[in-house]
Amino acid sequence: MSETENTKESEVAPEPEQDPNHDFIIEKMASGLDSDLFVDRSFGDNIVIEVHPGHIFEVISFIKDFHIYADFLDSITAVDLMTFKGPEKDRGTVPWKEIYPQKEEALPADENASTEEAAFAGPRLYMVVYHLFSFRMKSAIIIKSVMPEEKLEIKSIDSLYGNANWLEREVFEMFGIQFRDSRDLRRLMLPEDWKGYPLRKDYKEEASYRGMATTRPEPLTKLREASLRKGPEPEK
Amino acid sequence: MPNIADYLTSNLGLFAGWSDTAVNLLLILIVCVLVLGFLSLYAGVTSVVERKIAGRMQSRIGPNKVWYRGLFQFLADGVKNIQKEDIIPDKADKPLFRMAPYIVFAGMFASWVALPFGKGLIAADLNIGILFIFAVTSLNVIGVLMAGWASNNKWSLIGGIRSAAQIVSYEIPSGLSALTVILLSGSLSMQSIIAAQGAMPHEWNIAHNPFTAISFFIMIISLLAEGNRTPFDIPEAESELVSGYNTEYSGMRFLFFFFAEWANIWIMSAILTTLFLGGWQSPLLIEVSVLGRGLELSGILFFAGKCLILTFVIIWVRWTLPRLRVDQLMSLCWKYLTPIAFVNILGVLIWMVVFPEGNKMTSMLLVAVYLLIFLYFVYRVIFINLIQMKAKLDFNYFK
Amino acid sequence: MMQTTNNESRGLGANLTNLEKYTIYDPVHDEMELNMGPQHPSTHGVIRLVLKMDGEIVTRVVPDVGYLHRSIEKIGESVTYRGFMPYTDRVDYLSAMHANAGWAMGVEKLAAIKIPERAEFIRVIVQEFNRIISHMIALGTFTMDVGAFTPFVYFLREREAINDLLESVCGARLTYNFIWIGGVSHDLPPNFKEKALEYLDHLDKALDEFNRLITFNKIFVKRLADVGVISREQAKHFGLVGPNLRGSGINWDLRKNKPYSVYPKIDFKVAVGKGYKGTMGDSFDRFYCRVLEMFESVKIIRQALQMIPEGDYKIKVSRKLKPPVGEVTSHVESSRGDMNYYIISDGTDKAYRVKIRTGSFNAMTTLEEISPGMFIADLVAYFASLDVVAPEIDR
Repeated sequence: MSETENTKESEVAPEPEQDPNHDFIIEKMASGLDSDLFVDRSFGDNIVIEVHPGHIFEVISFIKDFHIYADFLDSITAVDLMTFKGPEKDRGTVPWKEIYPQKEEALPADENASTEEAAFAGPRLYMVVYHLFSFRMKSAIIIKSVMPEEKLEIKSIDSLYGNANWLEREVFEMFGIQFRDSRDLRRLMLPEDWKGYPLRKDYKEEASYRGMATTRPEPLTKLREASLRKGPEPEK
Repeated sequence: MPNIADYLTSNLGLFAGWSDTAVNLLLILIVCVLVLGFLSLYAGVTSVVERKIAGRMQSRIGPNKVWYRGLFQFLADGVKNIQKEDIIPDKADKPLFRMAPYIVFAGMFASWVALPFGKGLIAADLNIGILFIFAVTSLNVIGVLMAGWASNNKWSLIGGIRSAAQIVSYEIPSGLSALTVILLSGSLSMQSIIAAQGAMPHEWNIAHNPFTAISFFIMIISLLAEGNRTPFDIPEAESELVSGYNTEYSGMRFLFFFFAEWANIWIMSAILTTLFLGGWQSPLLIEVSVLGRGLELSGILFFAGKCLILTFVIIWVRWTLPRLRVDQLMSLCWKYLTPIAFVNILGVLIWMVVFPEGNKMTSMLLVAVYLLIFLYFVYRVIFINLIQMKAKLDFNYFK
Repeated sequence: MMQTTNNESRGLGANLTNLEKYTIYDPVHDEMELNMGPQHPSTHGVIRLVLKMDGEIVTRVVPDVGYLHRSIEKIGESVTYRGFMPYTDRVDYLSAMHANAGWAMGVEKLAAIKIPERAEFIRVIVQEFNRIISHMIALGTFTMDVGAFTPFVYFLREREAINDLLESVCGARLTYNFIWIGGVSHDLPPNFKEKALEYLDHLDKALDEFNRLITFNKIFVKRLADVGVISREQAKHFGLVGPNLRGSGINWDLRKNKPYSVYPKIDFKVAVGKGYKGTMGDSFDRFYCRVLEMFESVKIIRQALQMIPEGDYKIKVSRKLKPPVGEVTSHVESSRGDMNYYIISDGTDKAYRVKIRTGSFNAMTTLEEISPGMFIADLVAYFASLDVVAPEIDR
C-alpha cells in the first residue's frame, strides 16, 4: 500500500497531444497505398502504423519518398511478444489478431506452455519495429510488423537506408529474424558460433562457450557456504 | 685544420716515441670513446630534457624521481631496458632483425666523425665533410627498412617503406640547400665552412643574402624530415602505424633506435649551426689551459649553445605541431622545397657575381628582420597568450 | 555464415567508383589485408577494422564490433526501472548524464510523472557540463590521432575541473547515476553557482587558447579539410545524428527542434557545418561544430544557472515503479547526438523491452562506404571525427 502513497505525491504529467502531422501522413498513405496494407495504431503523440510483414518494403519505400519524406531511419528493433502481459485492451499496439485472423485458429496453443503463456493462447509472435523520421515534417513515424515464429522473415530495407544493414544484422542475431534480400546478413556483435538468440524471452545461455564458463557462482553465496562448512573458529 | 688527434699528439705531446700504427689505433680508440661518451650523455640528457619540456608544455611535471629533478632518468631507463627480455618474433627474419638497430646506430655514429665541436676539435676534418655526413646518415634508411621488413609485421613494413621514401626524398632539398653554403665558402670541409663565416650574426651564412636565409629554413625542414621528427614522424606515427618500424622491438634493441634518434638531434643542430649559424666562431676569446696547452673554450661554448638552442626548437616543434600526411609530405618535398632550393642555388650564384664580397646592408637588414620576428613572437607570447588569457590553471572545486 | 548478396540493392555507389578509380593505377589489384585493432591506438576502445590496403590507400574497410557487448538491453528487461539507471551510465561512459536523462525522461513519460522545475534545470546544467567534457575527450583524442599530443593534455586539464564540479554534485567523476526517475539524486551543493560561473569564465579563455593552439593550425586544417566528406544526403541516408549530422550542414538539434526539458526557455545557437575550411561535411566541419557547441554549452549553463528556481529537486517515486502498459520512445540530444530509448512496459516493475539506439552505432555504418579510397592516415582522422565510443556501439 505504501507504493501507492508514494506515487501519489508525484504530479501527473499532462496527456501528450496528438502529433500535428498525423492526419496528413495517414491521408497521404491512404491515397497512395491500398488501405488493407496498413492499420493506423497511433496513440498519444506517436504516429504508429502497423504493416503486414509481407508489405514492409513497399510501405517504407512509399513513406520515404511520396510527400512524407521519411528519409531518416532512426532504428530497427524487434520485440519478442512471448510473455507480454496486460489486459487485452492494452495490447492495442500489438493487434496480431486482426493481422492474422486465420493463423490464430490454425495454430493450436502450445501444450507445454506455462500458465502465463496459456493466457494468450495463439502463435508465438515477434514484432519488428521501425523508427522513421522525416526532417521535412519534423515527425517520427513508428512502423510495426508482427510475425509468427513459424515465419520469421521480412524483406530487408537496406537498399533504402544506409544504416539499415547494421540494425538488421543486430535484430537478426538477437532474435533470429531473417531479412530477405539483405546485402550482408552476418552476425554483428556475437561470435559466429554463438548458439541461440539472446534477446528472446526464452533464451537460456549455454553453460560454457568454447570451454569457458559463461556463469560463475555468486561470490557471496560461495563465501557463505564456505563459512558454514567450516563452522566457527575453534578456540585456542 | 687540426683535429682532436693532432691536438692530443702535437699540442699535448702524448705518445711520443710510440710506433705510428699503435699511436693511430690508440688515437682512433680514444677519439671514439670521447665522441661516444659525449654522444651518449647528450642522447640521454636530451631524452630527459625532452620529456621535461614536453611535461612543461602540457602542464605536467615529467620525470622527477631519479636524482636532481629526474635528470638521471635516462640511466634508470637504460638499466631497465638492458634487463628486459630481448623478444624476437617467431616468424621474424632473425639475422636482419638483430642487425637493424646496429646499422641505424652505426650510420648515426659514423657521421660524428666529421662533426666539429670547436676550433680544432673535430674527429677528422675530412675535405668532403658535409657530403660524408649526408652519405652516412643515409645508412639510416637501410636500417629502418631492414627493421620494418624483418619484423614480419605489416605495420612495421608500412613504417619502413614510408621512412625510406621520406628520407630519400628529403635528401634532395637538404643537399641542395647545403650547396648554397658550399658555393659561398668554396669548401666541403666543415671547419672551412665555419672559418668562412664570422662571429657576429650579420656575418653568418643565414644572413649573407635572402637566398641563404631561405635555404636555412628549407634545411631545417628537410633535416626534421630526415630525422623522422614531428611533424614529419610518419614512419612511426603512433596513431596510424602503432609504432612504425620499431613496433616489434623490445629491450636494448628498441633503445638503440631511440638512442640514434636523440643523438640525431645533435647532428641536425650541428649541421645547421655549422652551415648557417657561424659554427664555433665567437666574438669573445676565452682560453683555458688543458694539460698545459691552450684550448679555445669560447668557441666550444658558442657552438654548444647554438646547438642546444636548436635542440630546444626541434623539441618544441615536436610537441606543438600535428603530423603531416604521406602525400602532403611528398608534395611538400617535390613540389615546393626542391624547386625553391634550385632557385636558391641560382640566386646565390647571381648574388656572388653581383656582390663578390657580400653586401653588408642586406645582411644587417636580414638580421633586423629576424630580430623583429623574434620580438613579435615574444610580444604574442606575453601580451596575447599570457596576459589576455590569465588562465587559472589550477582550478579546483575543493580548494 | 549467412550471406546473401544482391548487387543491385547494394547501394555501394561511392565505394565502387573509388575502386574503379584505383584500379586504373594498379591493374594488378594486389591488396594487403591489414588488421587494425582491437588494440590499436586510434580505434578508441576496442573496435576492429579489417582493412584491404593498396600501399597506403584503403580500398575496403570491414568493421568488426561487439568486443564490448554486454547485452545491456537484456539487463534492462531483468532489473527494475530505477535499478537500470546505473547501467545506462555504462552505455556511454563519456556522456553518462545524457544516457541517464534519456532513460529517466522515457520512464517519466511512460509513468506520466512530472518532475519539479528545479530538477529540470539541474538536469540541463549537468548535461551541458557533460557535453563539454565529452567533446573535450573527443577533440583531444582527435588531435592526438592527427599527431598533436599537447592539445589532448590541455583538454584533460580542463576536464579535470569539470569533473571536480560534477563530483561535488553527485560524488562520481565518470559514471554519475545522478539523474534519477523523478528528478535528480542530490540538490546542487551550496556554492556551486559561484564556482561554476568562475570556471566558465576561465573555460571561455581556455577554449580560445585551444583554438589558437590547434584548430586553425595550417597543418591541422590541411589534414582535416576535404577528408571524409559526408554530404547532406549521405548524412541522412546513414542516419547520422548530433555533431556528425550538423557537420554535414543539416541544422537539426533536438534541443532546438524537438525541445524537451527546459531548453525552450534558453537562448542558444546551433552550430552547423558550413565548409569552414573546405567542403561542407568534411572532418574539419565535424571538428569545428564540436568546438562551437562547447561555446554554446557554456552559454546554456550560464543562463540555466541564472534562471534556476528554488524548490524541490526530486519527487518521491516508488522503488518498484510500475508504469502502465504501453510504450514510449524518448530522445535526448547526447554528446554523440540523438540517443533514443524505446521502452515497452507490460505493467510490471520491469521493462518488457528496452532498445537503446545510440549515435555511435549509426556513425559506424558510414565507415564501410565512405572510407574506401582514403589514405590510412585519413581513415584515422575520419574515424576520429565521427567520435565513436565503443561501448555505445555494442551496448
